[in-house]
Amino acid sequence: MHTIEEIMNILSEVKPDLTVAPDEELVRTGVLDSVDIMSVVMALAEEFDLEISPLDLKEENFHTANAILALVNRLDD
Amino acid sequence: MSLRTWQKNALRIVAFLLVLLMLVLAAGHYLMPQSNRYLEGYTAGGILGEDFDTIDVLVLGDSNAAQGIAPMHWYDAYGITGYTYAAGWLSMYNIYYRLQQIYEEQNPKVVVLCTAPAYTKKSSESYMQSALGDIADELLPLLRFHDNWKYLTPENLFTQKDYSWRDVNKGYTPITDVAGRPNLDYMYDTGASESIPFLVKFYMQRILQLCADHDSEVLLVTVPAAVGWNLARHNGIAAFAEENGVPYLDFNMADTNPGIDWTTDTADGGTHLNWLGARKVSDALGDYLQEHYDLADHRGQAGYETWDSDAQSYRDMLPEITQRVQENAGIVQDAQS
Amino acid sequence: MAYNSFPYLCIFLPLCWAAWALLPQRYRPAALLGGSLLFYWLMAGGYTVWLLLAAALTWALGLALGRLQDLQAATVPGLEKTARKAAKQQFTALQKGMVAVGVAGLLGLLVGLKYLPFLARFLNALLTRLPLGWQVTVPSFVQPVGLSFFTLMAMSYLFDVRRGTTRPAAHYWQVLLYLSFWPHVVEGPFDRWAQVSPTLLDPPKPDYRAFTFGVQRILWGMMKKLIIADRANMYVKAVFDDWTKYSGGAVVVATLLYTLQLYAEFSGCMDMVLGAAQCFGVPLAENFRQPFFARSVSDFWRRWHITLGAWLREYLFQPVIVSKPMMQFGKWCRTRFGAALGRSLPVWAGLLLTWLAIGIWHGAGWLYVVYGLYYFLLQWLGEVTEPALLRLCPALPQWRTRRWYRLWQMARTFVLVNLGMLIFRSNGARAALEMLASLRRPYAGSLLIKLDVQDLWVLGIGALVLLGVDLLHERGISIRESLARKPLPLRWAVYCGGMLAVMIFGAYGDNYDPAAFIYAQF
Repeated sequence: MHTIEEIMNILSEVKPDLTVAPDEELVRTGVLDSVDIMSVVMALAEEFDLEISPLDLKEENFHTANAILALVNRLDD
Repeated sequence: MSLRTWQKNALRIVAFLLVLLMLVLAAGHYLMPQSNRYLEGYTAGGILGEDFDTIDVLVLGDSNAAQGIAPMHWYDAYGITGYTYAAGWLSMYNIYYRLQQIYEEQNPKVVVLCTAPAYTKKSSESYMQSALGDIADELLPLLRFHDNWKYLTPENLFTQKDYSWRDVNKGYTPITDVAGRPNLDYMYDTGASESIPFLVKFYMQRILQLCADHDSEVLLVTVPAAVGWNLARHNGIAAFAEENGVPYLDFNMADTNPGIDWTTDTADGGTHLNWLGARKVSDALGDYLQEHYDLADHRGQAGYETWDSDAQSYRDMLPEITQRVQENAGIVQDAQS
Repeated sequence: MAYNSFPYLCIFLPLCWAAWALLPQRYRPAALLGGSLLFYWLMAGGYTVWLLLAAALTWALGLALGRLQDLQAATVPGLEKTARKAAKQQFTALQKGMVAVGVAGLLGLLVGLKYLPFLARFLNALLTRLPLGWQVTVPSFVQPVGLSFFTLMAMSYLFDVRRGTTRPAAHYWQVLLYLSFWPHVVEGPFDRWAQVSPTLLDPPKPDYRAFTFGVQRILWGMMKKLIIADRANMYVKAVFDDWTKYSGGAVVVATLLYTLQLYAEFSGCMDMVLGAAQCFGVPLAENFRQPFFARSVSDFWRRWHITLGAWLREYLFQPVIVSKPMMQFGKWCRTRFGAALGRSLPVWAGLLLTWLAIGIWHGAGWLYVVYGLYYFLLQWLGEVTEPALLRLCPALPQWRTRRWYRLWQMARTFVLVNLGMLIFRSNGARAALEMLASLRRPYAGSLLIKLDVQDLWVLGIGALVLLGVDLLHERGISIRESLARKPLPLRWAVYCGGMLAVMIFGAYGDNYDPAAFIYAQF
């Protein structure tokens, strides 16, 4: 199992001056645009050695840091 | 009696379409031009301004006829009253419906049907499209006159339309431009015969039937056209004429050619005639009409006063037109001719 | 038989609908299939065979994929762990192979029939540089109608089956109906099997309300196409086809009118397409969502030709991004350029590929490559200048929530999109550059080119009506729904008014040129 801190670390790595709460909306508010999401995907895949399929690239998997955590945990199973 | 839902819905659709049709017809009326001068290209619309039942020879055709047959020439020479109802791209479908309208006011003894519309159609349209489009235009004036909204003003919207305008040239438009072409043989024999498209032929037969119903004799005529006419088309029309038992006069053929000189007699390189060519064709056709039909000399008769006054206007403007076209053609002649 | 033609609207559509509505429920798909094949055959003649072949390939591979998946589900879970892993790998490889065969076949069809002349010309240009004197003959043939649409839809079907998001169709005619369904075969939208197949294969009962809503939408599309697009076309055609004669204001007006034309025409066509499908109870995908309220060019492309963007995002961009080679490329970038750039470079490579694909999908030619690059550059510039902008103007994040700043963003996007339209419509990449340069030279002649003042009034008012309708849609108001609640005389007045407007103000007849649908040739 991964922790929310790990996710927050990756987020801040992709977007250096990002400060969000774990349940704060990321996509609809425009904090993360589509390019950022893809960068996050690449970082996640590398960091946790995940196999992410195109099917997982749904917007709802990236709405909040917690949603991303859920995705990572599901994929790592 | 209670209706089922689908019956109610069907009724509602039919009612809607009826309301729409009424509105389309009403709007079509308001979009008709204010004067018959603008009803149709060239001066075809002027036929509505002619006195009731005065026209003995009615010419129907497209731009080749409008620039090629001058009925006032016949009145001047023989007292034959004729009118050329012709405009650019007029199709056999158009002509059929227009003839119906013309019969409401006129009862011509001879109907001269020019043959060019049997084959011409706009290249952007298929035969089916042009047929559907033209027939829809005739049945719903709104479609034909739709672009006239540009000329509507609050003042002229509800005023009575004035359809009394008369054309001195009786539907003919004199052209004085000259753009010649070499006198090459364009009627050479390739052995081919171009058949008339099915629907066009059907409407030509309806035209013949309409003429028969009104006791008019029909004469098929092809106006000289070096561009757009050939022997294959001649053969197609000749076959149609034989099939339907009507006489056919093709002024492109050597034995009936009225002496067209293509270096001077065309306004646009062989498609349309100018006044020099039209005069020759009108002479020849006038002679033929005088010879083959029993047509009265109406000059000076009661009821033909407008024709006599129009003939005077025609004679007055003729010298200038003749002079201009001759200058353009480079023909130097003394004022007497 | 175009969607706005008399035979289609007044003969084909009513007959198909009557056949569909009168047949017993289980035979209704036959009416749709018969109508679709007749429609396609009338448009494409002998080329219909390509559609039949593409459907056959898609159906067979889809079925095989489904069988494999069933077999996998039945056998694999019973195996022990190592064998399970090996079996899974084998199944995956087999499935991937099948998808590859399908993609190769469909893409081959698309490339062969659409891009071969361009590729041959390109090859010849290269060969002339070599001293060998070789040349290949440039093939000349017409691409079948709707090729760019049905091949992509067929691919999406295979991908979806492979991913397991949809079950394959059992019968050939079902896939054929999906691909050939006449409302979407000519100009899209790219519909997904999962979305349209339920109503196509198991049609709902004929519904009066759906029927009237569909007809209303067709009417709205006709208004856009005949009143606005075909009228603007006169001006646009005159200027763009003879571009050396015009400059300055004339080019600006022509570009604005082309944007108006393309929007009115393409979205109008979609209205006719979706309206027709709605009459048969089939919900096709929306292709437009008020594109001119977009606040950035990428936002614009999420609102304009939505289904093309979605297709490329889902089946090209995202798979490429998460593919193994791309991950390795990312790793390599990180060691070379550091973490931040290393993360974003692969994404930008994927985006470049996607924009190029959008460009080239529109046609074979350098112009379309330039067109795709233009949008890629805009998106890239927006991204890389962002940090600098934030430093220059720290208040920017607050401004972005304000109404005036949003209006500025929309205006900016509108201008950029118009420049893109200028490139898109011009006769080649060189003409595009020359026209852009000519914007700086004033134009001395009259701005009334091919159109008179009344025509420009109609276009102006038409543009305002489009804007108004889009504004209502943007606010989530459904116009047809609210109209349906009004009393009957008012409703009929509106519908009759619309139909009369098409007949009176439509740009048809002797004074106008008939214009074919632009997207039907892509």
